[in-house]
Amino acid sequence: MIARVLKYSFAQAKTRALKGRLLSAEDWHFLLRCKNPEDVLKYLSGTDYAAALSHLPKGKPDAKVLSLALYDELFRDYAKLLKAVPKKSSSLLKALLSRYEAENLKTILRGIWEGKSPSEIRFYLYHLGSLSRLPVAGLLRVQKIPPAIELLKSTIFYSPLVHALPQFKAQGKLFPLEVAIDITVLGHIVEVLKSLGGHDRKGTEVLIGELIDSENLCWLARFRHSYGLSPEEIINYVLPGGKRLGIRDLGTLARSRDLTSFLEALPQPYRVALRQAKDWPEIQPLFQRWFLVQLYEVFRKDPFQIRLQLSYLLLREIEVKALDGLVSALNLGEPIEEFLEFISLPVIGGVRV
Amino acid sequence: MFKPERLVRITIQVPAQFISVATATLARFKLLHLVRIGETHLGHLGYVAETDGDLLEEFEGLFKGIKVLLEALEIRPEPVALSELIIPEKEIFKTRERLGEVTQEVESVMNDLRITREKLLEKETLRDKLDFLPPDLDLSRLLSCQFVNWMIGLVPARGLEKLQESLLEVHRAFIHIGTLGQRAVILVFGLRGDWPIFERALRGAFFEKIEIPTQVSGTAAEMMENLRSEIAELGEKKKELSRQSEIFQKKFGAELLILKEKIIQSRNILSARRHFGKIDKSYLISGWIPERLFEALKEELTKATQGQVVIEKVDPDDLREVREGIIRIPILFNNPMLISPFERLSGLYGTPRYKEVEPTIFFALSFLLMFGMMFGDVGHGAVLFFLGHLIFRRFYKYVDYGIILMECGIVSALFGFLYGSIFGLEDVIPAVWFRPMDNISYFIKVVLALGVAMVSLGVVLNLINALRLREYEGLLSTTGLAGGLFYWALVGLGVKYLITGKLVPAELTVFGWVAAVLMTIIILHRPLYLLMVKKERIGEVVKKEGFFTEIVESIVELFDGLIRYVANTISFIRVAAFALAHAALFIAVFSIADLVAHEKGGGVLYWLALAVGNVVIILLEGLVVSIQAVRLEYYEFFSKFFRGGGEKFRSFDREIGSEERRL
Repeated sequence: MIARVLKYSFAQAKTRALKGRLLSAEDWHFLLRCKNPEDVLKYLSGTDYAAALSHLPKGKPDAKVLSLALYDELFRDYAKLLKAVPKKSSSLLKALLSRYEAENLKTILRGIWEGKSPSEIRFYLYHLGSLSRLPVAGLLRVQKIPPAIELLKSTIFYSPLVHALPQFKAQGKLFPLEVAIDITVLGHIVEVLKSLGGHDRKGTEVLIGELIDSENLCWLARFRHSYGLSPEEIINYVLPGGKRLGIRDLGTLARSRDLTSFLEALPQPYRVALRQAKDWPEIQPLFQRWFLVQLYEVFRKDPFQIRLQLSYLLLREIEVKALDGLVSALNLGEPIEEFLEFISLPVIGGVRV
Repeated sequence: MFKPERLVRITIQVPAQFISVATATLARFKLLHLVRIGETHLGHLGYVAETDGDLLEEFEGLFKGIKVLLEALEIRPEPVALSELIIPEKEIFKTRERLGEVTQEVESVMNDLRITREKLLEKETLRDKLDFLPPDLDLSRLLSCQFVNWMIGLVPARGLEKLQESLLEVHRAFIHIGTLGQRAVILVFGLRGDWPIFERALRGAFFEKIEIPTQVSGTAAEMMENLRSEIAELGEKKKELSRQSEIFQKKFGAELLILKEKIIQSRNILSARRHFGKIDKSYLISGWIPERLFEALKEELTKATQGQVVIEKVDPDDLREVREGIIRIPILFNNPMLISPFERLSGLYGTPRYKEVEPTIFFALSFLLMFGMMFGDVGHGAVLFFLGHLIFRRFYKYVDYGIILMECGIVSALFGFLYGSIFGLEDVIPAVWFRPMDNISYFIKVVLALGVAMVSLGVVLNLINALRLREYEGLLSTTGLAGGLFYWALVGLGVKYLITGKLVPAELTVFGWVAAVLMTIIILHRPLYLLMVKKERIGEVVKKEGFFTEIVESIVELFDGLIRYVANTISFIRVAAFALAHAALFIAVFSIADLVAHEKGGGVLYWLALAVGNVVIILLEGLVVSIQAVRLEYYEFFSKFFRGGGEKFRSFDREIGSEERRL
């Protein structure tokens, strides 16, 4: 216990300080009243996001540039906490961050596939800088997918992508490669979790398990609702390692006839959490709202474990995603009520709109 | 050797029609550090020359082509010296034609070889994948199934459970017949009516189908037999084609390397023109060259341009920008071949200024001395020498490291004789000097003497640098003459005590007075400098702002500097420590070898343990000792005198090469 306290004392203080700088219910109240992205930008320049947004060019902000700048704040927090936590546990945060590395990789492969120029592709990449070990410069130089995969030899993505190549060639679309990347990166988090010792592993198991469940539920809904894939194909795209949803449960869910039978097949507490869902797209925000409560719960428990930093980073991520969603909604001129249906605000107790 | 090469600034004005021959002549001289006209006042006025972009692009294309050819013929890159003048405008025709002829001659064999290699790899991969099939599996019967479909292929091993789950609701047979890397080789059977479900599930599981040849008949064993004979046939064909490729390699190897060098030089020459200036129909070239080469260059350029060239030489001291420190004179080292590889190591610390002492020779000698002292063993020295020799002969890119390793090997062997050690055995040869483990205190005295010598050399070099750079104020400071005298007085006292075991009170009194005077000079070095050199009045000096702060700073610096002298000297004890660690590691290796000698097959194990132990010592200790020697050089020696901040001389070809990489 003493060793843990010594190891995590600085990290937990730092994390709590960072948590104190998350947007408050009052901030969200005013943000939701903004009429356009410029207003959001103006309001955020008085918050913790000011530093990340200060580099934006003057005038009306481009939606993508603004979105990437918001994520810069998240990556800054990753960099701070990676320095603060013990080296062994930092591997879990790095694994969590590699989801954005995976997003960048998918963007690059998509760019290569569509024949975009390196500068065009680079524009869409998250600014991970030294946090990423992807050979971005090399990848941007190649013009075909197989040689791009060859450049990934030193990364976790290499073998899965090589294995997905035959399906990519057979189907003539990027989908198998993208799914392979997603499965790999989440599988990597589970693998890293197993390598942690004692309290760190036990404390984080539940959170990571629920994160995997969340991803699996979203994938099931999306593959079925948006992509119209068959159950036998969907089952192969889910990820083992969830907290309450094993392969057998996921198989049952994938085979369920409709949303009602899907919800009935869910184990508790997910059934209660998602019972208000009236359509497939509502599953993700409803689950996220439930997950948010679990994340906040962590701050009331033993703080001398890596799960505190993990919870904070996931909270910040939800916040950034909500801001990103808000800016997109304002850009498209969508009513704020519609936006709120599909997003969860990282504030306990709700926001007065 | 102690000074960098003396350089002069030249400006060449040449008519446009002679620019090709003029650039070619400069390229042949190589030792020209170009100054970009674009960065001078002429450049700012827009007098910057342009290069022929199309020609440069064509050379780029030829370069790619020749690289492919060299790789296909497996010709190892080697340095080639060109004696002829390269004129890109002419060279493009010669190179293009010859490269086309060679390509035409070797093309069909190279293509055949490539295709055969690919086919062979494909068949070998198929063999590895099908190797798991039960030999008696009747493939003819499988292929004639009417109601059942089947497929053999690979899926990621982690996905097996999911695949099983996805096929839960259909009739299926699922045989896991082997594992290939991270993937499972599986044989799946299902009803033809259910087959679309199988296809979807297998698609989701990243299934890679293994194609069984359609004309196959009989058992899996028979099919494998056919496959093996096909592989053997392809292997024979590959061997024959490789033999032909070797003939081409001998026939064209040298010529292709020369062609490649010509392409590189042509490219460099064309790129170099970006550095030039152009006024009407004249080109302007500016740069630094060694003074000794000026007359030769002038003669060559005059000859090449039929006297239509104007070359001006300016001594660096006559350049206002140099005097005012606006531009720096580049540093061109001129060390002998055995010393020059150490420029890489001394250069890591920084580049000396033009007027500073060039420290590579001191670095090289002291590094080798310390390395030898720490790694003294005849056997290990011999191994290092042969390793260095191997690198020197085989890897021309790392020739410098090969030379350093060979030199380290020689000094290591030399000290091995002095210590009487060969592969850690101390009873084979006599110790010419002493055995470190038996004379620890003597060894420490020796390395302390080495430390005193190195620190003293550092002080002397600092004095020379201060005089050359006219930094007279520093002469009276802790790192200058005053500090040096104090250090030497202290060392003298220490040596006297070590030799006689006592100190006479009179000596201590003299030392006390000397120390007091020197310390006072060090503390007051700034005011003294102003009074004596700058001829300022005492009243002015005392009234100056910050006078007392400077005095306090000098007192702190005095104590810091004196402690540093002692610490720098004592730091050299690590030479003895690592030499003893080297010997101690041998004791550990011999102990382990003795232990395993009592086991079954002990004789072999004994020698195996000794061999492995020696390899570990060479690798581990070799690395540690090198790091320690470099550390002593940088922190204890260089920090005494090295100023740095100079600019490295970039020869004509290197400058252009780096420019190319930047672009």
